[in-house]
Amino acid sequence: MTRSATPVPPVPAPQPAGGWVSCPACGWLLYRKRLDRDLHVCPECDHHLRLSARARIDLLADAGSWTEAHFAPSTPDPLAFTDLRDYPDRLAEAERRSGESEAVVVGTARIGGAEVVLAVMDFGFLGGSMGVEVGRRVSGAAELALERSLPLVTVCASGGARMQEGVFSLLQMARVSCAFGRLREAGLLSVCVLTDPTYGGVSASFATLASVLVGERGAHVGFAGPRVVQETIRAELPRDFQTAEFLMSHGLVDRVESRAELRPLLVRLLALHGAGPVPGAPAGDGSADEGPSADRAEDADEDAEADDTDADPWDVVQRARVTERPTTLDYLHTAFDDFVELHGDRVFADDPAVVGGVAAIGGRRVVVLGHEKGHTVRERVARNFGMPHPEGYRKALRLLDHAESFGLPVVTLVDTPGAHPGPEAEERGQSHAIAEAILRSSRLRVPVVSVVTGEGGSGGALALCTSDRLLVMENAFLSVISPEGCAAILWRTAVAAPTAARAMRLGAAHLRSAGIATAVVPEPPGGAHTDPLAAAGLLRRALVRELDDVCRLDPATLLDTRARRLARISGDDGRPLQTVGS
Amino acid sequence: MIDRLLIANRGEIAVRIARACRELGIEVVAVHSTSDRHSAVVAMADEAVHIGPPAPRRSYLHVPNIVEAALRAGADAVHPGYGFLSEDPDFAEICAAEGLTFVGPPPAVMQQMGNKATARRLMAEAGLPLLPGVVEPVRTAEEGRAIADEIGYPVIVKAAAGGGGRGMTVVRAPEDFDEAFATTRAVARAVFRDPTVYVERFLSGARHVEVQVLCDAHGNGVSLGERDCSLQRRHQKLLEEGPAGHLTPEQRTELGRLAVHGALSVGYTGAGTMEFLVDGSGAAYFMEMNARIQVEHPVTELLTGVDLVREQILVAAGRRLAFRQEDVVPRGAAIECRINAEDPTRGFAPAPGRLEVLQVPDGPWTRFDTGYRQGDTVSPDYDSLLGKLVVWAPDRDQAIRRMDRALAEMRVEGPGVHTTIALHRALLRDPDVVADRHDVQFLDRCLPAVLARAASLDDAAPGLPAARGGLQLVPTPTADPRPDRSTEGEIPCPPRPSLSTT
Ligand SMILES: [Zn+2]
Repeated sequence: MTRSATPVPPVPAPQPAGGWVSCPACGWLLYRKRLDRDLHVCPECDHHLRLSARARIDLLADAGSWTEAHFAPSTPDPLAFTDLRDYPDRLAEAERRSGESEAVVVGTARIGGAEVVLAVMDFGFLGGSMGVEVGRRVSGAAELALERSLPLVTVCASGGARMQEGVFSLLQMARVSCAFGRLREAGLLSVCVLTDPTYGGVSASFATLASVLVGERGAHVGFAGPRVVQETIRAELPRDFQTAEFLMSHGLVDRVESRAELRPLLVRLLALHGAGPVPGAPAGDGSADEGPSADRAEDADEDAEADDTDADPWDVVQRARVTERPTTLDYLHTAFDDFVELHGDRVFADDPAVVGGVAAIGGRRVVVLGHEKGHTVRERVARNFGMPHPEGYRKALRLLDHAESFGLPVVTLVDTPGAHPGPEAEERGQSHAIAEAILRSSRLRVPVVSVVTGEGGSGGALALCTSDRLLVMENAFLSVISPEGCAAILWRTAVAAPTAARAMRLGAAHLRSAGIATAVVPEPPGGAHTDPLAAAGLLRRALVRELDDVCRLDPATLLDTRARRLARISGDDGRPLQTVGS
Repeated sequence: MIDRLLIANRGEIAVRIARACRELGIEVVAVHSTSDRHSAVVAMADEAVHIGPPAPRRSYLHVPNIVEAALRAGADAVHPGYGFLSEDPDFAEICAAEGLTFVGPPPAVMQQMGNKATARRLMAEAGLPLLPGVVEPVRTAEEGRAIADEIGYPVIVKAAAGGGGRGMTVVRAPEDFDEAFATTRAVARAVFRDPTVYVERFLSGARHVEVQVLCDAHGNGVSLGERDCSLQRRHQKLLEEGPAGHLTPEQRTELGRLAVHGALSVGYTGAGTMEFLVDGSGAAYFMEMNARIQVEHPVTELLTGVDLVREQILVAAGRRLAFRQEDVVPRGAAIECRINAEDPTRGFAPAPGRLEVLQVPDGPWTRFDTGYRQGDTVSPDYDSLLGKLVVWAPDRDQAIRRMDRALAEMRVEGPGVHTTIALHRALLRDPDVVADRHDVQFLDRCLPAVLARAASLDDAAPGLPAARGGLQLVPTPTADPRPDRSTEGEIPCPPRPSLSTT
């Protein structure tokens, strides 16, 4: 099972003469020089042709920044292996053909100015298979990153473990995994780029252990090769089986990128994790007012007190539900300076009703999580109207972990009618997923600032509301049940929804006066949808203010204050529970 | 010398090149896609090679097939025309490697000119004026304000990913800069998902003026005067004219000198065009260079009497230019109207189809370059240029009248076929255009008004004799009641052919 199980030949087919290459996927004749300029991507079918390790380094690293790490020569061939040929012969042949001494190249480089350790595999060397030397070099790369406190970027291309080194190869999986585990404990960023193909012992070890997993478009990544799977189940496999896109839709990788987008993405990821300048940070005075519409936010009353926001609860409900109301993704693109979305729960699926990732705002790096409703009918259907499934909450959970690992504060934007009610959601543990998300955020060792931006429907909203600061936008509300649901149960008619909304005192004013919300974020007159940019400016201003405030606290104080804040929330002004003597 | 030349193109430019070859005594190899197998150039050529299906990337853009066609047909040269592969340095290089003379500049020069940033840098080094601004993205408002102070107001903040007027803000005073910068960035981020913006000097009332140059491989270059192409819609030229009458003779001479100097400084050979943006005072700023023959080259041919395609081929064959700068004397005024199979009232949507009627104007100093004949079908696979109507006259007023007359003579009919003919007539009646005071934004700004005028022209068809029938001095022959087909064309397009009032 850890053998090279891919259906692909280990060495690229010989090239037709005359500077022309035939695309292995569509057969189109490609002029080699043009292909070089196009990063070896077929313009006809977008097939990403395989690249050598050296070409990868040229593609990703800043020009002239590469310094190769040299490893003391080792004694290969622990089994004195011979098949049709002696193993040392095969090694010598692989070295001659690929120009590399092993299937992975390790060194340091800069990517967009950020210093990193870079480990790049070469499929041209015995199919990128992992033997003792590959294990040694990859764990060596992780150790180098630890030693110098640098991020580690790995580019994978491998058929799996190397047969010729037998069980020694197998044990390399444990060796490299341990090294990646130490990297994780140290809070160092690791990014793994999964390229075509990544299988077996490599995909089941370091290739999928990085903090961020990026699949190159069309790359085949899996454990068992498709032929093995096909023979086992004796059924037709989907066309996109084991492609990077397939992995993303199953929640297994954070992103899929075309080859040209890889380097820009790495630059942004590194910057958003503390290597390199914070995106959007003003060069000069460090003030956070460079953002959109900051000027207009200036004269608005930021601390809109409860008394002057006494809007009718039913009006609030309706404004919160306007389809043009800015969504989480809108705010991420207008109120924040940069945002890289990270997809998937790494287990089962990527829930489009919850979006999250790393972002920058006002010179600060944060992890952002939020419900996403979309605007058009098509978008709203695709996003399930912002109603998450368990995998949405599990995506939130793993991004909370991500935030804690890298010491990034968390911002959540809450706007959901509620968690998805349905049999599949129940099968996959909706309650448990919500509960875990609440628990995790209540004990997170980094600050959490939540903003209810629209509908805050029940437990599905609360999963992203457990925080140090809970802001609520002027036309947003938090409720235990929808006003329609409440009316149907207690008034026995959904027509009574406005009455129910008033009875439940839905709206920012009540949340603020009850001490549940810590501040109200003003909106442009008529609601956020009337001037989305201005609304984004107001939100940005509030977030920057709250983050500045809450980021001053050390983790112990933070956890203590958060626990006390949650304990205080009750209808009766927070009388502590007393043990009644018997 | 070139004996047999392959034309790697289609439509009117293929016919244009074939004609030049005939006059030079060069044999013509045409290439064609499946849908062009009965085209005019195929009929004219000594040999025609079928290179693929209609989709351009499988035929006119498919280098291996075109090179194969050239080698098998025994061609020794390739003319790429415009569009398709004309500015593809790889194609030029492959032709050279296969021993084929490529009619165009050397691949390396083509590559440099094809990259806007490189071209701008090289021309700046050669001393050509560039529009003040930065080619690098501007990241903060402070940085942007410093640049704006340096280049002077008004400036324009442009989204790198923007286009068609979106994601651009004109800033007229420093106090407005921060807000404009923030807004443009926010719009860019929201609309294009890319907040990158540039800051450039904003030119109001700018004109698009381009200079035709011709350089040989022996270091000689001449300017063949300029063309004004300010009448464009979203950077698509519609009507071109020459000379740029709004410039003084001194300014025109200087522009020509700069253009030749710039072209020679990068080792350019063949026919090329240097594009400038010219502001109200006549100050010119280099924009880009087109390393090929252009659609509007006949304007220059009519003004100078120089056959540009012929010269292009001779220069490619290694000949020295046969004339010097002082021999080039542009005379009179010329106008070209691009007749496109498009429906201007429906956002210029392509309106191709079978040309059941194609009556081409004629008369003194009236030229119509086309690759279509009556009965041909305009294919939706290619650009919608049906032909180019070009006129010459001693001055601009007469040229406008001549063009209007020629446009009125032209008839294009077919199911689903629409053209830009009425639009051109409306344009040439616009007071700003007549007075030569329009700018490059004119069409984007005034298109609705021009379209309304075109619609009323379409209804009334003014400029044509009213359909009241001819005066009869002799009895109408009644022997044959059918209209005589051969005389139909003599009547200048009445709405319904009518030979008699009786
Ligand atoms: Zn392909």
